[in-house]
Amino acid sequence: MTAFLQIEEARRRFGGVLALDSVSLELAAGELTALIGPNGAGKTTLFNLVAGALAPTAGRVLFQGRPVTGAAAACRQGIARTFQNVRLFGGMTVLENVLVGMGGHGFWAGALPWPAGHRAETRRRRAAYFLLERFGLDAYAERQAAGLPFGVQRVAEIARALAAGPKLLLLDEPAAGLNRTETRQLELLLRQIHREGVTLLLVEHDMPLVMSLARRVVVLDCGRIIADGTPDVVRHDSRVRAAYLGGDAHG
Amino acid sequence: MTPPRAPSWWRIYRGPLVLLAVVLVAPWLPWGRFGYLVPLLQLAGIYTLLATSLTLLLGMAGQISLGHAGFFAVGAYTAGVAATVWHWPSGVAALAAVLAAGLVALLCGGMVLRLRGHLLALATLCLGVILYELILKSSLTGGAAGLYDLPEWRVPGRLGAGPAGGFYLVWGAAWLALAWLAHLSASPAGRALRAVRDDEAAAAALGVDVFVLKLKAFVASAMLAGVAGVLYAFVHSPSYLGPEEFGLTTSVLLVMMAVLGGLNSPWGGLVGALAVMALREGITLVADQCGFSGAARIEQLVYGLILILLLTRAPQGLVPLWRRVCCRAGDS
Repeated sequence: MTAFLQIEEARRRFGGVLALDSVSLELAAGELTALIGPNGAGKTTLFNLVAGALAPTAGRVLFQGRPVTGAAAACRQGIARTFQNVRLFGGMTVLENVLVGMGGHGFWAGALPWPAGHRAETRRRRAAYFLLERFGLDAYAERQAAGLPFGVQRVAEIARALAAGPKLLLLDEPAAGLNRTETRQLELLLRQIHREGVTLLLVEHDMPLVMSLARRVVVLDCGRIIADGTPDVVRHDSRVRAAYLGGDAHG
Repeated sequence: MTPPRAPSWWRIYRGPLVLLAVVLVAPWLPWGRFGYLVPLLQLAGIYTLLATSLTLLLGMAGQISLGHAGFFAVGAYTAGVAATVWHWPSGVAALAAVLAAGLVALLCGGMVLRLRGHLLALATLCLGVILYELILKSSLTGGAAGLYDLPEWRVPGRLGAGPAGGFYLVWGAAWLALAWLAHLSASPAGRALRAVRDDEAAAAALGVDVFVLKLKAFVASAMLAGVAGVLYAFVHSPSYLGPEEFGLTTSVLLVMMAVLGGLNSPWGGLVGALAVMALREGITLVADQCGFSGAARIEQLVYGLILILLLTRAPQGLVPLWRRVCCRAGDS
């Protein structure tokens, strides 16, 4: 049986730096996994490999048995992501941002005014609007993304990623820059998304959030996986404590 | 708030409809002693087409080209050479010219579109210079001497003899390009292009094939410039086609028109081209009226100063400036 997400001996080198050193990891459908580790451990690199934004130097990444070959291809396979620093399309409205996730980008198909295209666009706009409504963002639908409060931009980016209808959602530090109330709301939101059948993999530094949200925690240090298990097991792992105390002690 | 619908047809196409009416009426206005402006407006139509091709590439897709006069040249010279040297029927020559511009863009775009920002600007600048030099040095194109006696296109029938004969052809093409851009801008494809402009990595993560989309926009833009080239050769200046019009100066002028008009509106190219042409003509006219003999010398100076002023006072372009003024007038 093919795994939902399978990372096999993935290695990634940037010049002289080995950011990931033969990482193997399997995710089953419906998991809610957190990826943690000190700064520079290779979390974002691993994310970029799964999202197809980077190709592994060696090894491979399979999603539902098929190799991930590029960012756009990964999206079509059912992998969506958010970015560490929110990357909304600043010159567009929140609604338009979500609409980009809804597809229909064909250049020549969009080049002529067919009635069918117009109807499909109305369908997409409705779907995008209902998505925003669900996230409590409908009031911001027609506002330009660049000027919005950071917390709103975070949630809008998650909504945009969900617009692509992913099976696997990668969240790169979704709680970074959010206050306590916003983090609490984010947790509820992520639980809801997970309940609806989306597999979640998140990189996160906010340990209370990780420990209460994730069912499984994978710890990365210096490009290797040093622990993998339930939050309780990982919390008491001696190597994890050493990694955090030796490097960045805020965990 | 009710769920939004796709922009209505009226909202997308009211602009093009108004423009169509203006274009149809323009040659028949009582121009009087300003009759010489009609051929000038015809040239403005060709520049509108060129500036609009850059509105598509630079404004929507966010990719600069400082070599667009090169595609303009490929269009004009392919049409000219095919018609005068190889004696192809002018319609076939025109079609070949537009395809040639697209083909050159496809081949070069595959290389240069991997670059970004300053590097892309430099690469396209070199591309424009190479194309210009090829035309200047080739024996086929007549080199610096140019080509003579190209086929002349006019509107068929009695209309063709009047001032509208070429005007309608040029502005018909410009109108089609503008209407198409207005449509594209409101379509999902236009949205994907703007997404690429704002953030390539995020666009790719949402399933947009960034490179392919950039290449398509580049080819479409070059083909529009190619159409402008055909119109220049067969409609505007069929008696003589020389290389002067296709150098770096023109490439820069086109970027200026697109930026001056406003990159965020499909109408930017039209407004920018008309503004620059009007400015140039206005300065000459005023200088003549004042009996100032050094007009030719001071013209460039004043023209440059006004453009700098406009770009600093309205960096978003004239279209948003106009909207702002209108809104303010509506509020009070």
